[in-house]
Amino acid sequence: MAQDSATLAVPDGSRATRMRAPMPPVARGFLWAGIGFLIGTGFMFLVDRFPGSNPPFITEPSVTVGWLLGFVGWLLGVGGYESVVRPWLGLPNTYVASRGWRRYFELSLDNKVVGIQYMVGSVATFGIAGLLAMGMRAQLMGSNNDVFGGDVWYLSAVTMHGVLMLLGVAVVGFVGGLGNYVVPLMIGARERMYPRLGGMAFWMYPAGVITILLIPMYGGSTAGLWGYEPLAAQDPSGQIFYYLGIFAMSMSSLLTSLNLLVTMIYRRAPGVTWGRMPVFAWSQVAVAIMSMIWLPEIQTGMVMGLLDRVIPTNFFNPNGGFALAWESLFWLFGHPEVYIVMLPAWGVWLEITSVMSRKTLFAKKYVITALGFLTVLSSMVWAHHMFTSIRNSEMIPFSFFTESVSIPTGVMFLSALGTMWNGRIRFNTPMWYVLASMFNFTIGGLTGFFLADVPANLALHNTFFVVAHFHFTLLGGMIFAWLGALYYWFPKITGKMYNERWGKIGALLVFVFFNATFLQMFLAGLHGMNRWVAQYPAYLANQNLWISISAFLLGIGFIIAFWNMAISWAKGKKAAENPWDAKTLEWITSSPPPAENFSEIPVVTDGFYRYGAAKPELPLFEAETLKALARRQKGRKEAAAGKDER
Amino acid sequence: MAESPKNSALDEENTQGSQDPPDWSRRQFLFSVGAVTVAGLIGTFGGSTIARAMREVFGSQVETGNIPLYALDYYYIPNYMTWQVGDRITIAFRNRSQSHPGKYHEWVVGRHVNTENTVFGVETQDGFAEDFFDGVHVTLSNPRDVNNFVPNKAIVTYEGPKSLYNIADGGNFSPTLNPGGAVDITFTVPDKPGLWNYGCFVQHYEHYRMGMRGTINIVRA
Repeated sequence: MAQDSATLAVPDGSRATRMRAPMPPVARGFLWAGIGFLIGTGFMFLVDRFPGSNPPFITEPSVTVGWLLGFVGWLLGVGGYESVVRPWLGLPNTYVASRGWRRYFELSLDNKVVGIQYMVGSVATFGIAGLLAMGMRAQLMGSNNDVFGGDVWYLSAVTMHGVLMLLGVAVVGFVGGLGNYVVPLMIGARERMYPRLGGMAFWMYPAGVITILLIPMYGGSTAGLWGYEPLAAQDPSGQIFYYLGIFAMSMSSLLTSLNLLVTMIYRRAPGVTWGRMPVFAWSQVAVAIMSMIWLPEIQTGMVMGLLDRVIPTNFFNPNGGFALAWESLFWLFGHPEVYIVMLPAWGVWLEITSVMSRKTLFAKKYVITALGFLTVLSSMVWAHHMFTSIRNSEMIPFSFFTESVSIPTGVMFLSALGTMWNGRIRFNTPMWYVLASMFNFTIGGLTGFFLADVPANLALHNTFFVVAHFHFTLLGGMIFAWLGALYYWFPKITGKMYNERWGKIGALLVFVFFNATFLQMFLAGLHGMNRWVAQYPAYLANQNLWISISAFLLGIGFIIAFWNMAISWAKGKKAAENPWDAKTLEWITSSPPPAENFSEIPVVTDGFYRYGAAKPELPLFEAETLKALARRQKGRKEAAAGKDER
Repeated sequence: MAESPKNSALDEENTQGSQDPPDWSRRQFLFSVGAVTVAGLIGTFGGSTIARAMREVFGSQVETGNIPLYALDYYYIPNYMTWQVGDRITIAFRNRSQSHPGKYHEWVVGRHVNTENTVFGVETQDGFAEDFFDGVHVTLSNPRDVNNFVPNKAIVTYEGPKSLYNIADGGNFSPTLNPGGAVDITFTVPDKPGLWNYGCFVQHYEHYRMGMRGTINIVRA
């Protein structure tokens, strides 16, 4: 389609074969998606007859079928046709990777391109969902505001904020972005196991984000992130975009996880044994296992919810179905989800603390054991989200399992503390973020005790105490660690060095105003501030005003943090080959890495965390090591010669 | 953007021959993505504004004869109609609610929506202060799944058995349909020119607040 050879008659009479310039893949994706949507809706218009009248062209069933065909059209349009479908059909391969910046706007087979696509995409989604959060705080600034023009639109904003932040940023930022980019480099692989699948998986993600953003176009969705039944069944038609958007985004994460897990099983460099594999890669293994168990589960739930609306079936209809089944179905995924989000963050903590304190990772085997326990335990606690709607006999075990999650979590903290113990810590931006993340997650965890205890939970359920708690764990724990990881691997990904001073200013602002915002929310929740209300009793207005002001300043802090990255990427100084003196494999190749990741595959003879010798022994490689050592010496000299003038 | 050398084994595997294809056009890319973004923003935030502007510029078509009116969750198709005084029209009112369990919807036409004072300020309330169908001769026909029908002060002729209409009283002139229900409302447009509103006030006026409302513009011939 895009790369046909067209035979053109040239003036001198000879015939030359030339390539036609193809249509931009993203434009073609939109075009084919639109065509698919029209085919689907048109088909349903012809098929879906009510007695006595023609249907409107846009109805929920027609939009559902149209969306499915549009989704397929989008995936084919952005490059799936050339890279996947034609090879399937045995046609000649016409797929050609573009060059330069164009690589990022088409289906790519390169793990680093896909990683950058995911990272930039999740930062953009973070910005959109953050703007929604700013709007929500503007609405809650006074007890009687009407910023969105009606409660249904406020609740739609809350829904979109939740879905985009959880499935569009938290999962994708670590698993899709850093997972795709860093994990193959860490284990010494040339490429992921299924490059085409990885490329396809990314492009499902913007489709999902756009679908969620279309919710207000189709009437809104007030049931929130959870889509509780039977409330969701009463919602405006926008609810179907909630189901479809989550379906698309979770499909993206699922395929990426599968791809990474298989890569880590089969593509490790010689000498990278399971025992030597870096902790970040181990955390991705645990995440991939959890994703492969639970993401299909939530997709099943989403399809059931969708069928309830468009067929309509009776899965969750209180008259004949079982409305509470939805709660269990959702949280059965929803709780492992927060560990899917948090495990790579812990991997990053340990990775960065070990490197920045130049110390051997403390209790690595216990950490990996704890990752395994978390994989299991996280799937056994889902009902603590619904203590208000389960039987007494179920409360005790779920409370018990929830409390016991703190044991493997504590192992992570102890390992990080033990690593830093007596170390000469370099307090640079990534380390600041990691320490901030540890602080925030501690508060999140300690308030989790209250919520895991049934009596307290029954009082605190659905108040802002809960909002503050999970923002401390997800935003304070995961997003901070994510920012730390982005700053830590920034020199590797871009080849440039970020501006340390502005990085620290951003980290400080985000940390201070994050705590100012959400610590107050605990108090507001204890005073009776409910979630999911656009307007509230007047006695809470003063507190909410201060929360809102802190939240706006937090938004400015995030803008500074990300703006610093953008500016440094565009205009930063060239970074040294291994600015942190880290020992994992991604640092022995050039920055940014070549298309095949390593000029020759390294052979590893020792673990990656062996600090402590007078002169740290690098893992032994063949010729690659000598080159890297030479480059490193050169980089050190350069760094010594000129300080950071920016 | 980060550049990396591209003449690698992976690329050679995927290119045919040594000839590089021409790059796709940056201008086309930016233009199409920008256009889609603008269209999305307009569709999300400016739909009603644009519809109003178009009506200001081009006026609105007078509808007559059989006018289908669909009630969905929670909006009407169409949400704007223009009638001409003296026309004989039939509103084919259909409830196409697809939520589950389906919602019943009504069609109330009038002016000056009632309000009430709540702790959250002034909120809309049930029905209109002025009922459009006061004293209008109306014929109802083809009922299916009618939840209830309040004639109020309209002069109503029923086609078919009256029991199908579940006649009730209280409130404005309002046919209320179960999901999948239908009723045809035939009348001659009375001499009540100007703008009239219609809406659905079921479920404690929540449908109206969620945007289930429309406008009728009645013009003199």
